[in-house]
Amino acid sequence: MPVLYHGTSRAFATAMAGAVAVGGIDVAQGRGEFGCGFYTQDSSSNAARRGQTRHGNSSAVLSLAIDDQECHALNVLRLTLNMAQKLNARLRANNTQDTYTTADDAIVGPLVYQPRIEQQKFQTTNAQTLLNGPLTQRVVI
Amino acid sequence: MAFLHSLVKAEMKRKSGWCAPVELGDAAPHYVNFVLPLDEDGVFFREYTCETIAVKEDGSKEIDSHKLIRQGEDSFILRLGARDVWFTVRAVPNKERRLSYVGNLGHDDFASLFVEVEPEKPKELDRLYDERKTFIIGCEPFTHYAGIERLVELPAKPALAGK
Repeated sequence: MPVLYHGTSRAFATAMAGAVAVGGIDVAQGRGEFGCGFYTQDSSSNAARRGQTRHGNSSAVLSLAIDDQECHALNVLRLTLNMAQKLNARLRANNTQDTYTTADDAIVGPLVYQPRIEQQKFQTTNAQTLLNGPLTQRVVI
Repeated sequence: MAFLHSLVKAEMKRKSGWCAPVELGDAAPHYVNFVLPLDEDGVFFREYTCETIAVKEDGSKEIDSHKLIRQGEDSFILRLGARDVWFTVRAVPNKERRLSYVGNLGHDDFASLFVEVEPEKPKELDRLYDERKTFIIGCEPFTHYAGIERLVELPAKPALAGK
């Protein structure tokens, strides 16, 4: 079961964790190196540090343990570092980091400026339904 | 003593350099880099202060202070009890190697040039967090950076999916 992390404020983490069967993640809210979407990463410590540097002592980490079968059923676009760098450069040049999406459920690739960490951007209703449903364990740390 | 800092690379005032993630608001990236200030001769200090944060059961946090000690030319060791965490200078193009702080917050180290370092074994930091709920922050910004309070957003009601 892949476990992914999102560093944010405790208030947002709690709202996104929601109840067992109904989370509050909104894939239309976030932005980042791969455009508009909900971002996670595979580094728990980096997520914690990111939350702390933005929200101080009111920060927290939302941990997401996603059911293997459902996770692998998602339509995922995988990027190499070179592809991630090019996409990020294009979005920055066009100022479309707030809006860019593709038809894929998720885009997965290295953090452009910290490539030893992998990031995942979820961007469809299908992905949002999985993240907010009972097959994803959402825990606020 | 100078600190290890958690900053991100950004362009501000038409200059490329380092700033605190909170200064970028929603545009803050999903990574944070570790950077070390240099002394007035442009070399590393012998040792730096490095803070860790432990998250308690009730969600409160405890900051602890440690020493990050230079070992050789460009390696540094942080001893956390029985656990040693090594940092090394990150290989980057020469023009990006030494950059200044370009944000608007205040700290004694912000007059210095900074060099990026990275943990030799990043998974070791994740294990520290997963097992002991402790992470390395370097210099806790809300404790040490002057002027940060004006950047803190008022608590907003989180937006929920579909609303």
